[in-house]
Amino acid sequence: MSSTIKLDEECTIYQAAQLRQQLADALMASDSLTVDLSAVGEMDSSAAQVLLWLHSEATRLQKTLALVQLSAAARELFTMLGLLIYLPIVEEEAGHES
Amino acid sequence: MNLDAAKQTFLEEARELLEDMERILLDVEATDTTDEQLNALFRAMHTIKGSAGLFGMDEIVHFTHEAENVVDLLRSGHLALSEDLSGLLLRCHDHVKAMLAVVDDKATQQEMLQTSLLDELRHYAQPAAVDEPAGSSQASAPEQGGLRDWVMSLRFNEDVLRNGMDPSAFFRYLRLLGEFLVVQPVLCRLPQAERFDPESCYLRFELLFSSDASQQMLLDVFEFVREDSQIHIFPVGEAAAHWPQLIADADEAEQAAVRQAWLALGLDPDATAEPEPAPPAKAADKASDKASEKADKPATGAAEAKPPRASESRFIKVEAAKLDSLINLIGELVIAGAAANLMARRSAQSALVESTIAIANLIEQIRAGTLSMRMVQIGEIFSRFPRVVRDVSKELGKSIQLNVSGADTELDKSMVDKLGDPLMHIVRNAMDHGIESSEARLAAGKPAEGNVWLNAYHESGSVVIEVADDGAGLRKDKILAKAVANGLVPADSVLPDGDIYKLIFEPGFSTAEQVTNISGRGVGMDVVRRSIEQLRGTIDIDSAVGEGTTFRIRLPLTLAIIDGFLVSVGNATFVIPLETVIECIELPPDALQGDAHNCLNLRGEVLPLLGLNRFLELGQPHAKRQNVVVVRYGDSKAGLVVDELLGEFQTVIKPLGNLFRHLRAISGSTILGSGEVALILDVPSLIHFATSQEAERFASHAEHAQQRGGHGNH
Repeated sequence: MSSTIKLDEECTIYQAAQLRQQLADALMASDSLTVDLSAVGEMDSSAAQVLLWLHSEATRLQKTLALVQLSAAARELFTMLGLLIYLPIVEEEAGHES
Repeated sequence: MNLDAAKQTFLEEARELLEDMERILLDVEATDTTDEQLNALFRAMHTIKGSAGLFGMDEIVHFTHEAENVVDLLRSGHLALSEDLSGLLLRCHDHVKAMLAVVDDKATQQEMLQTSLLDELRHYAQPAAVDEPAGSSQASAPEQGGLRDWVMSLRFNEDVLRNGMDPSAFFRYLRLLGEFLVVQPVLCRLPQAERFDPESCYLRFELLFSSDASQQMLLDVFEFVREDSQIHIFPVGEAAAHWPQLIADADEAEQAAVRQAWLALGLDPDATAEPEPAPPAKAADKASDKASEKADKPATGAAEAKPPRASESRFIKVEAAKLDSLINLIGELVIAGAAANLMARRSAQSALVESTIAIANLIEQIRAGTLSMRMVQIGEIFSRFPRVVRDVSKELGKSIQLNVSGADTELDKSMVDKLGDPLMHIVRNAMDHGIESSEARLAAGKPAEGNVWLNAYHESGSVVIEVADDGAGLRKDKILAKAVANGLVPADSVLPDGDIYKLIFEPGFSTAEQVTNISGRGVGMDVVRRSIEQLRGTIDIDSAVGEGTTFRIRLPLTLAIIDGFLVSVGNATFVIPLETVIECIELPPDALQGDAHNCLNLRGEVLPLLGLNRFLELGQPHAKRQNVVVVRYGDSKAGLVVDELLGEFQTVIKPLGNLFRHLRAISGSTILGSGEVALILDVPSLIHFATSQEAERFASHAEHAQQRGGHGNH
């Protein structure tokens, strides 16, 4: 069972708690979670940190996690912080359904 | 989330830095520049740039960057601070200030970047900066020896995110100063499952950075987080020596992860490891870490040995509202303390009385201490005047010297805030109308350079602020003629000098023949008087034709609590502000109260008397023995006739309701320990009434004698 979740435009410290809850719930509910970052317009370290944590949770619970469709803002942040190789980024042109 | 708070701190700090900058720029015009001053100029621009970067205010970063370049050239001696340049920097100061004022309005800030100031700055920066790669916007401060590789170890405190700092913002800003070579995140501190708090920061970064900035400049980037976080920046060569310092607080897993990261950066942590700082003893380790850090500093470069910023260590910023509510509470405490004291006295238990007195003593000290917290030096407003005088005198083509004294006189912060505008108005007026043109001065036998004095001092419980000039003085005849023409006074009225001068405070009054940009539109002086009166202050004018004019503003020290002197008339109790009381005497039995002379011969001085009973229409029967309280305000004195003197009393001023605002004789009310209400007498207006009553009586005598004559009314 897999599911996709699309992040909102704004991913900052203001949304961090909510984001963590949303992603944790989604991860619990399915074996394979895809996170769509195409809409992300603003992202800060806290959001990056939540994704890092989600990745470690997924590994711990032996579930699959993929980050897809990185927006320019998300990619810029991950690159700057040197996080690209620490996140399960899947670069294919994945068409996604709800 | 404390983002707003952090921003406020930044704005506040920026404001202080700009004030410093302005003061220095105005100072150095007169004297030679010192390194210290130039460094302070640099720091102002540099710190604002750095902090603005953190908040994503790119426009301010851009502008301050250009200014910083120029100041840096000054600092390195490539440029000299000419009058032209300091004028330019002053205008830049204004511009930054204006940009900070619209911090939330990106569009306006963008527009403000379209300023010719930038070109002027570049014009200055250019000739000296030929050896720089042209157009490289990141070329800050070409300090000793060009590009260098730096190792940065950034271990952020858990709270940085909560405090509104985003580590990625530091990265963004660093990109302006140089180039990231490799960034290695250290993620092992990230907790698992529920222990992860999305608002805490668990990130640590080890990275290589290439920049021509100095170590100090790089460290300054982290100024806001340095205190709590562990930020280490070293040249690549020295990094390994500092390895123990970097892992001092780290557990084994983190040490291993950081070691990994270093290997990935191509660094060998063990290369020249220090003699081994005994890892088992954690506390000792920490201490030695601090010590070695200190010891290291002089070694790693003098630039890092930056003296702690004085303002940070000596002041705590407190929200004004908190202080207000504290003062309010202390007001209640004073009342409650007075009540307890009264009860104790009634109980006639001496031990109890003694202890309430001790408490009252402490309350008094707390009161004084708290009120003094609200007190600020008037220099805060005086400091903006050198600039104004400089600008206005240039504009008017007059040569005017400003002399400031008593800038350390303290008064209530809320008053300082409200005084700025009225003072500004008076000073501008003095320069525009008061001081004559140089030719006129020379013709009158005065030095060509005019003087404006700003002076402040304490006098009998009030603060006096004087604005004086040595200009032409006020022309009584002109003012009177104008007042008559405007219908303000009857044509044949005879007024004392002070009252004539006061006519200029009437709305729509201006004697200036020429309306200039600076003043003279006839609006303002009435506003000045109103704002002073709102502060329960008064304003007087002294003037002598040909010699100059002095505006004297008199303000109460504080607005909240005063020392009062309790008196009673019949069964009503009144409070007289203690600082206005000079002495108390018994009313001589032969002093007639009532119709004839309301005067008392006080050691050869004529003292007008005011019977409170009659004046306030209390309708109380006379007590057998009456007393006179001699009060003073400014230069005038009067005696208030009361029944009983009840002694000193700490008085918390409760303002009167709107309904009673217009009352002239009562300035407020207070609650006594017994729970009764006592009215606070407004001494200035009582004195005014007493003296004018005398004057009137005198005038009416004259009237009878001459069958004609005007009489003044207040």
